[in-house]
Formats: sequence, structure tokens, C-alpha cells
Amino acid sequence: MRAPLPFSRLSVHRKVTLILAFIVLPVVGMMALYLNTLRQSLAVQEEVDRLLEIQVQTASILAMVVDVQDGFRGFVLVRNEKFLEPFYTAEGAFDPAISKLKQMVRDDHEQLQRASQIEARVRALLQRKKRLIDAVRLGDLRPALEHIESGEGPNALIAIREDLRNFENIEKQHLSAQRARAERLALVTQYGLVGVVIGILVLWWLASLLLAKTITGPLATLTATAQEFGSGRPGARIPVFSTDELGRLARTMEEMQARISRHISQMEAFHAIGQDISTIGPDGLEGVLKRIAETAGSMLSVDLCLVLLWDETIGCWKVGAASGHWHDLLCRSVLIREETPISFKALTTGRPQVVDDLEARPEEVLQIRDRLGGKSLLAVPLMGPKGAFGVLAFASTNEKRVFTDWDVRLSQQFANQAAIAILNARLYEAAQQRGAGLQNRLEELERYAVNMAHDLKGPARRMAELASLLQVDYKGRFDERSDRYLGWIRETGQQLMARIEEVLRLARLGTVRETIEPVDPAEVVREVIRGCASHIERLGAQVRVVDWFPKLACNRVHLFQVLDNLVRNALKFSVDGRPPDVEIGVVKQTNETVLFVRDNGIGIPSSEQERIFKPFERLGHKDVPGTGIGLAIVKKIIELYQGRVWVESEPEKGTTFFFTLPLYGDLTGVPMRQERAGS
Amino acid sequence: MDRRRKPILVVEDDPADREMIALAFKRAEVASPVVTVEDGQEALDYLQAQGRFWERHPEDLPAVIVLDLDMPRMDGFEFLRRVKPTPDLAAIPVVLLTTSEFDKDLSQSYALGAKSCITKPGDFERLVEVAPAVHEYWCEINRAPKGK
Repeated sequence: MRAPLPFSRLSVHRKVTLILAFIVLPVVGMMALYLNTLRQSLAVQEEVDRLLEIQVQTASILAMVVDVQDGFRGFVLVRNEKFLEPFYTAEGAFDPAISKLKQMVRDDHEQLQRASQIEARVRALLQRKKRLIDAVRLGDLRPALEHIESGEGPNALIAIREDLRNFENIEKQHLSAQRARAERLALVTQYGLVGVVIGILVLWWLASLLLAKTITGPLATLTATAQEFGSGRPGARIPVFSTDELGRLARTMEEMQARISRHISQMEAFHAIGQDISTIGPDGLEGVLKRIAETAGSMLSVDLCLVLLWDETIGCWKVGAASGHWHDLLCRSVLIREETPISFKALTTGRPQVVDDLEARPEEVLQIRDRLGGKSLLAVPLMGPKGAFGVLAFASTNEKRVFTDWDVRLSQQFANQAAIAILNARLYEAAQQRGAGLQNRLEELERYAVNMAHDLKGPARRMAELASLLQVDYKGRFDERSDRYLGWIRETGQQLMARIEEVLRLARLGTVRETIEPVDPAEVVREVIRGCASHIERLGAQVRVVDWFPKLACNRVHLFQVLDNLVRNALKFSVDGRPPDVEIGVVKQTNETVLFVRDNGIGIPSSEQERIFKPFERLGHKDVPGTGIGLAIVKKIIELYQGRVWVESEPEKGTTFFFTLPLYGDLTGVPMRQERAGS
Repeated sequence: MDRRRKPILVVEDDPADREMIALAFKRAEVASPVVTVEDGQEALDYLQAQGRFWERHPEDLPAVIVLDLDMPRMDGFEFLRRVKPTPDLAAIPVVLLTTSEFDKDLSQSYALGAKSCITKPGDFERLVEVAPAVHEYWCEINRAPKGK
């Protein structure tokens, strides 16, 4: 940052005044110059007028003296009194004329002297003439004639004229000097005006530059920055460094931008936090509470954040979690209601409570103040469907802190999210526990059943074996009936064994992870048919197999078990006198490929179709051999693969079993067409 | 007792089974003698010629041991584990005779040294068919390492 110039330290008001003064001052100067010139020309005019007046006076004085001279000569020659008229006129008129002349040059000493000299000469002339006239009246003509002859009169006249001319000339010189000065001044004024106009233009240009640099420029920068920020650009340093109002505005705007950015990032963090804390991890409710405490604490950057949960049954707080190292210290401890009145107020009123200075509180014991060293506290309620169920307590332990409205609003919003997360986690945990309990019981039952099956199998086998041993070893020693009964005992034992074996097989499904492999159902179908070959031959059955199957992704033995059970079923439940006709095929439905086994057997009434997949349901065909567990195994295998198995049947017409298993192509995304073309 | 023929040692806790197995070997008229014991501990006693069998002839080590897995006192797994460290005894082939194909963990038995496994058939006649097959293969065809 540059060091601010002295000018830039001024306020905008002073700057504008200064810049305007730059323009106004020359105008004022120009006006003063013009006025001065005007005054000078007026003075010249005055001088001219004075000179004219002086000329009039000198002319009248000269005429007066000439007339007196001429009248005197006439009087002397003809003795007519009439010729003395000019003399008397002059005696009366001279005084006012000379005094006026003197008045007009009163400031000029030399001229005044000259006027006095003229006055003296004229008066002397007039007195001489008077004496001569008196002498003529007394009859003495001689002095008058001598006077005329001596030429004394014209000589005096010439002297007076000379004086007057001299006097006039000096005045004329004054005038011309004055005029020359006025002309010079007018010229100066002319050039001055041109100069001033040019100066004003230059100054106007300079002032606009200065204005742009100090006021409009920074204003434009501020506007641009504000617009940029408004359009989502992050706030940056505004390049206005003056210390005037604009500089302050820039700093304020920077501050404002920073604050808005901070708020925005807080809001963003806030939303991220909302997701984060709502996620229920393996640590369950406890983890959610801990994350709430941590994120809330760092969000408001307080030293301690407590998640207090109100326990209705004991009427106390339980510390659900605390931020930082406080967690291990406080988690699961209990706080008494009386010692946490601020948080309790937040709980009961459902409104945030702010205490800027805990030390000023009158309560004797405040847990957060006395035990945890809190200086300031903000307690925000956690609202559930039935009012507040807890409080988020934000405490500043290092120094007092003023929680702003923004802090309160933000924390309240956060608390609302946290409350949802906590309730969610509680529900989830309750459901988990219920589910786990049920699961445990089921697993226990299953283990029990499997163990029992195991234990039963030995005796069943032994029974059958002993019966057969008796039949073999004591052949001929039993009568026919005993032999038949022994046969039944043996068969029953063997049936029992077979059933138990089936139960164990069913129980084993899903407990052992079988390898999943690409399986071609066509091969498995061939194996199944081979296994039932004697059966098929005996029944005179017909088995038709579609010539193409999609490859499946499953365990080969599982598919074998499914198909084997279904095919054996199809052969088993035939209508008397109608040889079984079994069809094994595949249909492609909207979004899945379905395998099916169809027969023309006795069919299953729709009311019974649900039951057949349950273990040991044999639909009343007691005469047909079987354990009644085959379809249950089929269903369980299919469900291991998230597949579906269902039946469509019409009594006396036949039954079709449909099932779906994952397609091998599904894993690699190979389209069915290619799979088909390649196989 | 024919000294030239090594016996078949049947380890089975159930008396009826024990008797039937022995009977099956007899019915099948196998040449080798059959020795029956009640559990793994007795079998071990027999092999090591101690306890009840302290007077056993040193050459009467069995050609094959027919072993049940589920027994009191010492079960089949423990027996296999005990036999394993002694090479002479470990060389005697062990044929498992189990009730169920899902009986315990067969792979564990094989890992412990069992050589073969037969499911108890549930029919005496079938047992009589199985017995000579066991004898035929393990006592006649199979070549065991020479004992001391």
C-alpha cells in the first residue's frame, strides 16, 4: 500500500471544495482584473471631463483679459464709458473663474502655483487698468497714452496667455499619461482574459482528472466490487486506499464481504454438518452425539460444547457428549437441575438462553461456571415432537464472549438438525436392539433344531440298522408278521434319517459361503435328467429341454438342488394313467430372465400355493414318497440370491414353477444377445 | 489271533454301533482281526500299549483305524491331534465313519490326518457291503510303511 498523499487524507467534502476552488479562483481574479480596468477607464473619462472644464475656464479668462485690453483702448481713444463694460464684467467674473480653476487642480501643487501666478498677473493688470481709467476720468490722459504707447498692456496679455497655455498643456500631458495607462491596462486585461479562459479550461481538465482519481474512480471500483461480490465472486481486497470516506467505505465493504463470506461458509459447513451428524455409523447414538458436540463447538468456535439430555425419569441432565478432551471427563455424567438453571430454562421455555457474563450471575452454584470454568454461556434447546428433550450448551472458558444474534440463530438451526439426528439415532438403536434380540432368538432356535436333528439322526439310523440286522441275522426265525414289522421299523428309521438329513441340508444353506461361478443351466439340467433316468424310464415320462439357457451366476450345487427338486416333483405328482410330460425352459420377461419347470401333473389349488414352499407341507398326498422339504430348500436357495420363485398351476392340468437367479452377464454388462451369439 | 495279520481298530462309543460294525466285518469274512475300543483314550492306550492294553503284542499295531468323531472323554479330533506327533502312529490310515454328511467339519478331520470318510449307511446289509471294501483297500491294497 502506498503512503497516502496529504491530499488523499482530506475528506471528500474538502476535496470537492478544493477542486471547485481551483476553477472558481481564476474566475474571481479575472473579474477583479476586469473591474480594475473598468475603473481606470472611468478615471480617464473623468480626467477628460476635467480637462475640458479647465479649457473652458482658461478660455473664458483669456477672453476676459483680451476684452478688458480692447475696451480700455477704446475708452482711452473715444472716452466713451461704454467701452469699460468688459472691464467691469471682468472685475465680477474673474474671481469665480479663477477659484473654480484652483478648485480643479487643488491636488496638484505646481498647477496651483501656476494658477496663483495667473491670478496675480490678471489682478495686477486689472488694478493698473483701473488706476489708468481713474486718471483718464480725472482728465489726465497722459499716463494712459503712455501706457498704450509703451505696449505694456499687450505684453501683460501675452504673458497671461502664455501662462494659461502652459497650465493647459500640463493638464493635457496628465490626461495623455492617464489614457496611456488605461490603454495598457485594457491590453493586459485582454491578454489576461484569454489566459484565464485557457487556464480555466486546463484547470477544468485537471480538476476532472483529480475528481476521477479521488472520487469517481474509487466509487466505480467500489460499485464493481459490490457487483462482483453480488454475483457470487468471493470478496477480495478493494483497491481503494485513501483515508477519506471512500476509503472507509471500502474498508467497511471489505469487512462486510468478509462477514458475509464467513456466514456463507458457516451456512455451507452447517449443511454439510447436518448430513454428517445424521449419519449413523457403527458407533450408533454415542457417535452421533459426539459428532454433534464436536461440530457444534467448532462451528461457533467455543471452547466447550455439551450435549445435555434431559432424563425425565430421574429429573436430571445426562451429558450425552462433550467437545474435545472434555468428552472422556464428562460423558455419561449427571448434572443436577438446580445447578444448571440456564440450560434448564432453555429446556422449559424451548428458547435459546444467552448469558454473556456468568460471573455476574447471582446463583451460588453454576456447574458450567464453577466446575467447568465457563465465562459465557449459550444454551440452545434440542426440540423433539413433544417439546425440548435436551440442550446444546456452548461455553466460552478462556474469556468472556458476546454471543451475537447470528450465533444464536445459527446454533438454534444446528440444534434443530442435531435434534432430528439424535431422535433418529435413538429410533435406529431401539430398532437394532429389537432386531438383534429377535435375530438372536431365531438363531438360537435354529441352532437348537440343528443340534436336535443331529442327535436324532444317530438313534434313527441305529434303529434301522438293528432292524435290518435282525432281519438278516435271524432270517427264518421270525414269523411273517414279525418280519413285516421289522421291515416297517427299518423303513421308518430310514425315512426319519432322510428327513433329518434334509432338515440339516436346509439349515446349512446360507451358513456356508458357497463359491459363485458362471453356470450353464443346460449342463446342470443334463445332470439332473441323468440322475432321474431310471425314474423317467419307469414312468414313461417325456422331458423336454429348451436348447438355450442364459448363463447364471450362482453355485453349481445350488442350481442342481433347485432343478433336481423341481424335476423330481414334476415326475412325482403325475395324474394316474397319464405319463408325465416335463418341460424345462426359460422365458424372458420385461426386465428379468425366468427359468421354469412345467409338468402336466395333478396341479396345485390356488389356495394351497402359498403353503407348498413351507417345510413339511405335503398337501395331503401322503401316498407320494418324499420328505416335504424339497420346495422349502428351493425357496431358500433362490432367496439366497435375492431371486424369486413362484408357481402357476391349474388342478388336473399341470403346474409350472418359475424362478429367477442372477444372470452371469449382469456382472459384466454383456448384453444378452452377444451372450447368446457367443454360446 | 493270527499274528501275521494286522488288526482293524474300530473306535466307536455306541455299543450297538460297535457291535454292528464288528459284526459287519465278521459277516464280510474279512481276514484281519477286529479290535473295538470305546473312545479316543482307549484307542490311544491300545496304540501305545498301555492301560487295559499293556499286554498287547508289539506287532499288533492296526492296519487301519475306523474312527467315529463324536465320542465322550476323547473325541475323534482330539485323538487325531494326539496321534499326529508320533510318525509311526500317524502313518496308520484313519477312516472316518460318520452319521451325517454334515457331521462336524470333515475338512478339519482331513487336515488332522484322516484318510477317508464313510457315511454310516443306516442299513446293516449296506454296512456288510462297506466293511470288506474298507478291509480290501486299506489292509490289502494300501501299502503302509513298515513298523519297527
